[in-house]
Order: sequence, then structure tokens, then C-alpha cells
Amino acid sequence: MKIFYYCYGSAHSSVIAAAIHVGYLPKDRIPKDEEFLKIPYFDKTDNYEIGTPFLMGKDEYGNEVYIIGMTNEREMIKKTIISFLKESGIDLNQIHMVDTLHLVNLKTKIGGLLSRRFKLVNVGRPLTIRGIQEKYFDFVNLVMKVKRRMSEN
Amino acid sequence: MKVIYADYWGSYISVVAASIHLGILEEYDEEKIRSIKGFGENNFSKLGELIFFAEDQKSRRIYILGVKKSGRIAERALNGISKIFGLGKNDVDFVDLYIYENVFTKMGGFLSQKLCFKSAGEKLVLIGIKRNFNKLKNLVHKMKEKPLK
Repeated sequence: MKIFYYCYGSAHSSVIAAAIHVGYLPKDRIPKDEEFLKIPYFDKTDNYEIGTPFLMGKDEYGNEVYIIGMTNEREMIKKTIISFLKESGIDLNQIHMVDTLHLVNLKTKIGGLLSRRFKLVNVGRPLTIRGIQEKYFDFVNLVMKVKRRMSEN
Repeated sequence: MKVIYADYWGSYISVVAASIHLGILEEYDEEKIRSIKGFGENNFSKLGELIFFAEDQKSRRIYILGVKKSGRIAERALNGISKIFGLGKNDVDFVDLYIYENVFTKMGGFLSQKLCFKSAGEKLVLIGIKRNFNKLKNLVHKMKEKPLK
């Protein structure tokens, strides 16, 4: 099974969910600032990389976990991916796609905009981290739901 | 192998490009274009969905796709997905036709697809396609002649 966490730019919310999923981040406490900075792809993806899926790692069941950015056209691009897989004869049970953007709060949105769009990393990055820390257990809950679903299958 | 012609709506430039590819259309011909399967179809609910058009002489499967302005994103996503699922990085030739949109095709598509002024909208779209037809034809011929990988 391949799990894709997707958001706007694959720099924040999808990265956090995937990092929790593969065990880079804890499930029982809010990580410190420096722990976020160690995660691959966190607040790093550039505009020209949006759409490219990146492998974050494997989970304990051997599922591959990816992140992907799809801007505000997430449902449309998701449809493209699904119809492409159908046309390629791939079993759709091999893929699970999870939208994470709804977990992003205003602080992360503004921080992400400053850091990624305006390249004001020093101002934007701490703000994105603050926002994620505030919503951290919502991310954990989402990942736990996904994992439960995976184990049921 | 798949060749995907993508434009904003998946019912105008992409359909014309696919028709040139398949030899259905050689030169600009308004009547012929209007009669092509899929031309001017209301594809609002099908945005993002690959629509199979036909198979070419080299057995490549030709698709049309409406992805608004997100052709580059869809292209990266499909190339990545193709590698991940072991379909080979050469499985897809994605042709983003958004650069062939002009003010006429944009306005015409909007009138026809969003406001349901099909007749007026299509007239404008055809003016826009006529203006870029030779460029489009050159691009499609390059794609058609591209050796199989």
C-alpha cells in the first residue's frame, strides 16, 4: 500500500502528518522547534516541485508514505492521479490519499506564505512551527485514523 | 504508452491536438473541428479525469485532459506516480497545451462552459484555435514523430 498525504505545497501539513506516520515525530507529546527542523522536506519545497510526490519513509506495516502538493486544485489533481492509475490497470486498493490542508491554521498559513512565497524564512518558519504545535494532536489523530484503517485492511 | 494532451477544459485545444495526432485533422477546418468527438462538450464535472480518445499507429493511447491552469502540476504528479508504481518513467508523454490558450479561447471557453453560451463561446474558441493552429500542428507533429522510448 502507498499512502499519500497531500496539501497545498508539500511543505508543512502533509510533511507533518507523514512524519508522524513514519515515526519521525512523536504521537504522545508536542515536539520542540528543533525536532521539526530535522524532518526532511519541512518548509523546504519550492514552487516548481509542487505536484512531485516525495517519499518520506515506510511505516511499521511496510506501507510507503509519500507527500505531495496539489495547490488549491487538490480534488482535481487527485482525480487525475486516480484516473491515470485506473487507465494503467493498477489496483486502486494499493493507494490511499489523505488531505491534510484542513489542519492548517492561520499562523501556519501566514508563516508558510512568508517562508515559501516571499522567502522570508527567518520570520515565516517559526510561525509555521507555532501553528503546527497548536494543532499537533489533530495531526496525530488524523494519522491514527489512517493507521487504524490500514490495519483493518 | 500514453500521450496526454491537456488544456484548461479538456474539450477544445486538447481535442484538436489529439485529432491532429491521429490524422483526423490536417488543416484548420471549422466544420470538421466542430464535428470531432468531444469538441465543445461540457466537461466541468470531468475536469481532472483522463478521457481516452483513441490509439495511434504506434499503439500509443491518446488521452485528453482538462486541468485548468494546473498542467505542470498534473504532469509532475503523473510522472512521479508512474515511477512509484513501476510503470516506467517513459510511460507518459504529457503535453501541456495551456501556452496555446489566448484571449479568444479563454473567453470562449468561459462563455461556453461556465455561462452555457455555447454558440457564441465556440465561435470565439475557434477564432483562438485558428490563430495558433500552425504552432499547435507543429508541436503535435513533433510528438507524433517522437520515437517510442
